[in-house]
Amino acid sequence: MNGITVRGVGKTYRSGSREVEALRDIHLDIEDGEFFFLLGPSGCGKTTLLRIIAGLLDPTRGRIYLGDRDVTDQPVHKRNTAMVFQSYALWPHMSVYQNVEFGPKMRGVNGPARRDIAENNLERVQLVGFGDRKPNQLSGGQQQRVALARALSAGADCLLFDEPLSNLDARLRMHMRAELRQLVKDTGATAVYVTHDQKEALSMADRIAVLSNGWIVQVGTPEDVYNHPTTRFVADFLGEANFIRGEVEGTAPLAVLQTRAGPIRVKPELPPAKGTTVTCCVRPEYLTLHARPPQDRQTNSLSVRVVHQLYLGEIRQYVCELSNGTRWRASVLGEKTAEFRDDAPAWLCFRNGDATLLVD
Amino acid sequence: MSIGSIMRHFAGGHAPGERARRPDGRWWLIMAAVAVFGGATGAVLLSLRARHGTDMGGFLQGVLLTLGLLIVLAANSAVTAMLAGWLAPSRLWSSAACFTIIEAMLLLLVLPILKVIASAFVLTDAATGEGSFSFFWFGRLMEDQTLRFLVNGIALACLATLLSIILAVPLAVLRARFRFPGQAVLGVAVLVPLILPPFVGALSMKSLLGQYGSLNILLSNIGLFSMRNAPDWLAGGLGSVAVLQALHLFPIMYLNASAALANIDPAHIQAARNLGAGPWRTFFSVTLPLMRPGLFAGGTIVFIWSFTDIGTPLILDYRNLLPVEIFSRLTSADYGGKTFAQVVVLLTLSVLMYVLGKFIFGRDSGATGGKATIQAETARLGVRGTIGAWLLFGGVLLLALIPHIGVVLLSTSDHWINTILPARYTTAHLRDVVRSPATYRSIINSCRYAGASVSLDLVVGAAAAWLLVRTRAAGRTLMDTLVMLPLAVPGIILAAGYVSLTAPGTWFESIGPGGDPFLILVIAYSVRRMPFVVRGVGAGLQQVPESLEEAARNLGSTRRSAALRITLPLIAANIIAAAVLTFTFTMLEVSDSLVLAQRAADYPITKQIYDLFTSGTQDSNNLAAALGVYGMILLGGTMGVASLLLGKKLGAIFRA
Repeated sequence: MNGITVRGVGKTYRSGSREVEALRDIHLDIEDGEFFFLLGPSGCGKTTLLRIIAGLLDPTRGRIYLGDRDVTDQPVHKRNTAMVFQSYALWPHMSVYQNVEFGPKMRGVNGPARRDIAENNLERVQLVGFGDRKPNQLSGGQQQRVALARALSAGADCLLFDEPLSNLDARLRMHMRAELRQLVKDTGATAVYVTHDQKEALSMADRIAVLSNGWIVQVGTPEDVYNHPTTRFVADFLGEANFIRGEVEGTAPLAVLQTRAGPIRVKPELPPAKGTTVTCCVRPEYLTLHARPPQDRQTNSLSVRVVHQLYLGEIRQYVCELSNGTRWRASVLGEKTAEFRDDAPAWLCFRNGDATLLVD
Repeated sequence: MSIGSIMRHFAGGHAPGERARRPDGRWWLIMAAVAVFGGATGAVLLSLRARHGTDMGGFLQGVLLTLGLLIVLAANSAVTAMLAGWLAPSRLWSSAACFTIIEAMLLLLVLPILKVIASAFVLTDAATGEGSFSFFWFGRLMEDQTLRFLVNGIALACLATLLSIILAVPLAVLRARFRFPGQAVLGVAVLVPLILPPFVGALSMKSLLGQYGSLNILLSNIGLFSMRNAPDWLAGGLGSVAVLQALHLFPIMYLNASAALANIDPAHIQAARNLGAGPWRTFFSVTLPLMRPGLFAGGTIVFIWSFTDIGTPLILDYRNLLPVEIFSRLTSADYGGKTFAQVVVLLTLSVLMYVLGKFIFGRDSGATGGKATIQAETARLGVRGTIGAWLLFGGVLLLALIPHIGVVLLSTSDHWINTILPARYTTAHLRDVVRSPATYRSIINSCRYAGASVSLDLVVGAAAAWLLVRTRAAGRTLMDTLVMLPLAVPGIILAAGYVSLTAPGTWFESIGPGGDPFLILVIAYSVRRMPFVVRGVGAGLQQVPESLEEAARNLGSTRRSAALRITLPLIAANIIAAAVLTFTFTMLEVSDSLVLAQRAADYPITKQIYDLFTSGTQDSNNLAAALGVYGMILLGGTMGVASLLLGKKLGAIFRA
């Protein structure tokens, strides 16, 4: 059992008389073998939490457990975690072999066995034959792989990733996502991965914790956090979202929202209380644009005016103005020529089940 | 004009056809060069005239020298004109400036050295008086102790370097990786040992650690031994010299080690800790190897400094070293072939060590300089740790500052015989130094020499640094080698070169030691301290991204105004610090001062101290110490200013 448990961890930085709360009361249960993501904008505390788990930072309060061990007071080198740094932190004075063999060496593995481990892991990251090179003789992508091999070789119970793909170019980054996930899942180790890139988190994670301002805002599977965000922050941070506020008028069987742009019917997970004000959130890809409103009980239709449009290749995005002046974006897949011109009136439609209600 | 050439015009470039139409650039260049050298020479001349009034001997020599420089510049412009045929206009100016500096260094550094080397290879036939090329003198070296002295010198330098590393690295690590109260104060205090004026330290060492010194009196008072069989702590020969040198020079290592530590990406260290290495293992397998280039950069300086030092061995009266041997021969006016053969041997070795240190051991292993990607985590020391840190810093500092403390005691002691501390104190010596014409004059002399040579250094050194960092001037590798070469050339050898150039019967007799040595001293000082200015300013330039200047130029500023408005303010701290340090070390300069200033009226501080020191009366020792105290105050102040201005970057100045 090598899960990671975080209990009530907080981190307060003191600069002069000012106190900055980097983390406030974090609770997490990361399962054994889980690929867990910490996602949030810069300054949200995700890296701080990762470094506390690694032991590179001491929490101001709270405990960290690796498996059953309470490691809070253990120094970093006794924790048996392996971290992939954002800068890779490959030691420039050591060869690739020496870098990759460092972890086993510290565990007292003898020379030939070390080399076997190194070869094995270099093969896994497809760098066979590069062992005698120095890190600065490798490309950025290759360095990234060496850093990965070094972490894998350590035989650690848990792997920690600090934005490991952020220094790669876009193409390579896309390619590495699937590969990295496969490699990590193959080892069976518990892994924690810090990123601010929502695409990375959605495509690689088993579960994601979204952080903001030192708090964990939401924890869930990628599908869960994307489709059922609980706050406006999560909805906005993971992809694009359109919002409108309204008062709940009816609750059964569908929640009826009275908004300034017209009534909206939503099938909520948890029915909201009548009379409260809630925010309705709809993703651009669930919106469709029509010249005439469809006669369908399950579809909401809002009268809009097309303001302008963006052609993005695979999708065409229309920016539409609702009758109350709010602007919504609708993404249409594979529309070769624009069906609506700027300033044209149209109907913006979405199904009851595609909207989420946020409590705020 | 095509659109392309208009674009190039706005971008500051030149169309290929434009090259031929801009010949006037060269004339501007020549005039600028004349202005720089003319200005420097003019300043020197003015100062000469002010000093001599109607005595025109030195003045005439100055005119002669100026004429010589004009000839150099004429040659320079000829070369430049020739190069204009194949150098792009953008590189023409910088290349010509580069050549000018190369020529100046050839004239003022390489020529004197060659002159010295030349006499070593000449055997004069006693019968005919004709000289012939021969290795005779080198053969003679094999017969006597030269070889043994040389081995001594290498052993000494190794020992001193090793000791200073052992002293400096723990302090640097303590300062960089931990936080404790009083850290900032200790960090600056570490630099104080560097500012000991030579010789006076010796006096005080003898009064404190000699056979009848304070320490022994203290120990015999406690009852450890009787005074009759008290040990002389300074009689350790080579070992004592190495310890003293290490205590004097370890700040250079400390500065370099601190700079090296600051350059290590903390992620490298954290990665090792994360993969299971304990703190010590991490230090030895990651931190120390990554510090290596920095340690070697400082180590090379300390090594050569120790290898060519004559001050400390003279203090301890340890004469089995080649530089000391050469020094005694030169001061006793032995300008024979054998002396110069020794010079050649010493020079070859120190240049060799410089080359080894700089190009082989000190080579950057690649990405060591990589930017810090993570903020370094500094650990706060607890009470026990803080006490330990203070004890370590305090212990090293106490040892290193023994000479300083002794100098202060000596300068204020009225009666100090067979007591631990002086029995009576007085301020008379400190007053007398200012009142006595001889000592007062030496202070004024030193300030004049140092002032003139710092001005010269700043102009030439800053230009050289700029050419090195910011241009692709032709010949800049050669220029770099030449301006840095003085680091590897023992001061005593350069001094010998100037002596040989200005020896009686030569052209420059009247600016030599026998005449008015102002010019030759200023030149000697400038050449010797040029590397500090070049490295100091160069480090500043490297830290100012060129894109800042490019942005200014893009917004309509000319190259020159961008340099003046953007870069200059950003590197002002480096320039001032380099100037201040150069001034400091010029004031402390021993070799040139002792050899080139031979008339009492021309003595700089160091020579005056030496003179008092060797005259041997009790009072003169106190006066020498008092002079030393003034030197220390001056140097301590300038060092503090430099340290405040540069902080951790101070280490960049003491690099090979």
